[in-house]
Amino acid sequence: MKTPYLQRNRPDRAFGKKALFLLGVFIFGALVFSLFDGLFVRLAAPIWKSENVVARSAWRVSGFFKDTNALLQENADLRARVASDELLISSLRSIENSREVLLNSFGRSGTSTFIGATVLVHPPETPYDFLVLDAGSNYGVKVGDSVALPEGSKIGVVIEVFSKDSRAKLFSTSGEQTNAILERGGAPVTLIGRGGGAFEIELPREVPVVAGDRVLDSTITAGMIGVVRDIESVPTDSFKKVLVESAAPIHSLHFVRIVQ
Amino acid sequence: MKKRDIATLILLILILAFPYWVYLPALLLAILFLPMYWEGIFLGFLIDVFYGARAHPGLSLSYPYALGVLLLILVLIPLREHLRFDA
Repeated sequence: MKTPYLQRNRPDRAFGKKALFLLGVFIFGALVFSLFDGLFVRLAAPIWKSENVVARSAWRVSGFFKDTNALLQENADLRARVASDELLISSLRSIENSREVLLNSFGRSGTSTFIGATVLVHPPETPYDFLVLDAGSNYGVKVGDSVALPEGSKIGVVIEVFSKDSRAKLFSTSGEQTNAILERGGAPVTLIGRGGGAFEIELPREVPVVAGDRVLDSTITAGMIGVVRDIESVPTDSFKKVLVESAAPIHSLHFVRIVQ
Repeated sequence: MKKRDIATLILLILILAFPYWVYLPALLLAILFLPMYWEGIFLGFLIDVFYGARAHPGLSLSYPYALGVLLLILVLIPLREHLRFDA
C-alpha cells in the first residue's frame, strides 16, 4: 500500500542514488567541456555571426516603420553631429601628429601592430563583461594581447585563445582593477570594475573631480578609458566614490583591434 | 517529443541568441518545474564555456553555473518529496 508519508526507520536511499547520479553527470560534463571547450565555441561561432547579421537587418527594416518626420529630424540631427565631429577630428589630427613626432623623438613609437576582429558575443548576451572574438591562434592572437576600440582606446585583454576564436575580458569586469590617470590634475587612480561597462574610483575628498572629466590609460599613449558620470560623497567621510562609465559602447560593439 | 526535450531545445536557443536576463530565469524556471532536470547541468556547462572564463583553464571543476544548477537540483529533490504537488 502506498503511503503518503515516509515510514519511520526507513532511510531515504532514493535521494542518495539521485545525488550520486547528478554528481556523476557533473563530473562527466566537467571532463567533456574541459577537453572540448574550443570545439563548442567553434560550433557556436557561425550561429553568433548569423545572429549579428539578422539583428542588423532587422534594425534596418525597423526604420521602415518609423514616422517620416521623426526620421527626417533624426537625419538632420545626425548630419549636424557628424559635421561637428569631423571638425573636431581634423583639429585633433594635428595634435595626434605632433604627439607622434614627440614620441618618436624619445624612441617610443605610438603605432603598433594589430589584428582586426569581429565581436561575436558581447554583454548582455554574456552575464560577464567578456567578449568573444572571431580571431584566434590562426591569426597569431596570444593570451595577454590588449583589445582596443577601432579608435584606439584600450578596453580589455585577451584571456583565452582557441584555434579560430578568442575570449577577452573587459577592464569593466566586476572586481577587475586597472591603473589609470585622472585627466584633471593627473592624479593616479585605480579603476575597479563594477560590470556593465561601469567603474568606480575611491578618491580622497579634496582631489578635484567633476562629472565629464576623462579617465586615461596610465601608459604613454594615454588613451581614454572612461568618463566620470557621478560623484558620491558623504560629508563625514574623507573619501568619495567616483562612478565612471566606460568609453567603449560594450552593448553594441561590432569590431575591435587586438593589439600585439 | 517529450516536454523535457522541448524545454532543453528552447533553453539552448535562448542561451545562444538571447541576453543573460532571458536565459538565466528561463533555466531557473525549468529546474523548478521539471523534476530532476539533470539536462540543466549540461546547459550550465554551456553557459560557462560560451560566456564565462574559468579560473583554471584545462581540466577543472571551475564551472560556476553548472555547479549552481547541480546544487539547486540537489536542494529541490527533498523539497519536492515534502511538498507533494501530485497525488
